[in-house]
Amino acid sequence: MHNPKKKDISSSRYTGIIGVFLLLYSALTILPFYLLFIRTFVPTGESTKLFLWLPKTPDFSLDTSFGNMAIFYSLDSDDFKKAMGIDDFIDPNLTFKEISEKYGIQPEKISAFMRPYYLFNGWIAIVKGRQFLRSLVNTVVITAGSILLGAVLSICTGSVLAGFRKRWHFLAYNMYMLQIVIPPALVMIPQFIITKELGIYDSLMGIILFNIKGGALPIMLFTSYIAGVPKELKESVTIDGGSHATYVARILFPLCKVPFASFTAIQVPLVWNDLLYPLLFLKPENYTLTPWVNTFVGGEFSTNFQAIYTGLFVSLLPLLVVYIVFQRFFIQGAMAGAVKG
Amino acid sequence: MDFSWVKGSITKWVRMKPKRGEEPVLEFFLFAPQFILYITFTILPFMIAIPILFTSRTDFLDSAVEFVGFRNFSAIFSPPLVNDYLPAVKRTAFYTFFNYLSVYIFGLPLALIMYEYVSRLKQSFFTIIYLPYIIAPFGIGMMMSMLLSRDTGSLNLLLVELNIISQPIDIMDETVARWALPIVAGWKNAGFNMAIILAGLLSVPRETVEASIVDGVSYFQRLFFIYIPQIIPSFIIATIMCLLGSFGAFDLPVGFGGMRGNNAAMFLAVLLYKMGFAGSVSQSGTLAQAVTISVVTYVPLVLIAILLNRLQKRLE
Repeated sequence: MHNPKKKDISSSRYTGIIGVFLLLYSALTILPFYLLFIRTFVPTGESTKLFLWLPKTPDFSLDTSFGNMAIFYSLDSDDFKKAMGIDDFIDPNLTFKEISEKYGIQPEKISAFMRPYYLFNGWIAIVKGRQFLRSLVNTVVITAGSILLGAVLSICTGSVLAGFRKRWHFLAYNMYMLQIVIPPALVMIPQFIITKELGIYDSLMGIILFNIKGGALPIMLFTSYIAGVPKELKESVTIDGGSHATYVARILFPLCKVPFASFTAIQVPLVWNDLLYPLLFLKPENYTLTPWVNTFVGGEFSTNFQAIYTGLFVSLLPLLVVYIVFQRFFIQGAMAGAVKG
Repeated sequence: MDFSWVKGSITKWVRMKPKRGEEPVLEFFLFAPQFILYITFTILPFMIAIPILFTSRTDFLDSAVEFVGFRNFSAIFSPPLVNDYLPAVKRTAFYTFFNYLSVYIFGLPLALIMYEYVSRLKQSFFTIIYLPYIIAPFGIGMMMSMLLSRDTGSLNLLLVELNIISQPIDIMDETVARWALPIVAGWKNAGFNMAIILAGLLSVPRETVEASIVDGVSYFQRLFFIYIPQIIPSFIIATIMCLLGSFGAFDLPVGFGGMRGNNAAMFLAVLLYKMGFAGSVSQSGTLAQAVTISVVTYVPLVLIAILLNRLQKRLE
């Protein structure tokens, strides 16, 4: 006789091993993000050293040249001049000692001003730069617009297509399904030409239009859900003298919470993180977060690794926070969407 | 001549009223907006692409466009362009294959483990494993390539410190990057693949599983005869998502430096972007040749995918 429970993996004998394995895997998953976070505090000059915790702030050396601080620590010379009350062009070759002698400023004052720059210059540079906030706002606008308008349009399409009552319903549905096999890279050059011709280049609305154009996932989710809505609801609206529009607005919009949750959970990361469309259709000053980070290397911060690490981390942070707060929503939405599809 | 049939059919057409509860005009206005957008941005590009294939268009501003016949098709298969094109296809195909394999290396085992695991920590583990999927592929690529950069990468420094490796990993090396890209992608998508396979596992009737346990079958018998046959639909979704995503992969290789001279990350999509948008100065190909490459490479894939889809439906 076999012992029924003998080889069952869920017996307590294995639970411990599985727990340890999952703990290790989770730790390895967190590790890169943690290291990235720590790197936002590591000065560029100490890049080749390993830090697993915040580095100690060294004493500020007054022998450093002003130009070096500007290059490797993204020191804004205007900020420095304002804080020190200097109204003059500062020669980048001067050391801070020479500056303090030349302009009669106490060395302690300079040290106090410069000290945070070792650990926090990345954060100072990113937060002070307007581009971060602008990119964040653009990303939020594009994501919110794409999700809401996309859901409204997809519910409208789904309300017509549901049930495939006519031959063209099925044809149209299959045309939407075609989108799943078309890689964006295949159509990006003609899409760019269309954008230019339509005059929607460099507008957030243009990106939103691209995102709400409908595709396999939203049409599938909403059409199959609406097809399952009891016919009696539609009939009762018709009997009460309401049109199809009333049915969509009063019955379907409030009813479609479930497919909307799946749609949002799957679509938010895709739209928020997208690199290709903003890169193609927006000018650099209107970039969303992802292409904004892409401009760092070889750009403004090419000499300041710390600022690049910080910018990268800061660009990942907003969605990370949203995810942690709404974790159940994201995971359950994706799982429900997968089962439906 | 007798035109009465015309009159008859016109009156018939005028008298033709929609059935009760049907409002064709309204339905059309609800349906049209999204469909027009869809046609404009997804179907129209194909029609625009076809004339470009046979021209000498070098960039978007080119005014001296000439008809060149099929010369673009021969150009992409002859030097110098073929030296960019074929390696990019090879890299992308390699990445696609191993990225697909990673569904079974990462997603499947994690889903099976999560299915059996009973603990208060389950939700936390799930959240953490799913986390990289939420993060931008570009950001993940850039983070990994920076943390693995040869002299300054924290992961490299850590691995050397722990004596796991003697020499730091050089992420810019062609061989290393070739393997690193699918591994990173597999790790990133692990949570998503785990979630959809787990969703399939959870739909397996509990009685079937319990009956098999009572009958005393081993875990692997249960796996091969109960779980896997029942989660085939999940595999199909994972397959479609993975294959299509991989062959058009853009964000992750760009994060790895595909546009900044890391040749190992020069995937098809990156090559096409560079040829089309980064100016023809740095590249050997013209815009028309980029369009030719995309059509020659992707259109057969699209046709195969449609055929496979048909076949799958017929089998059902």
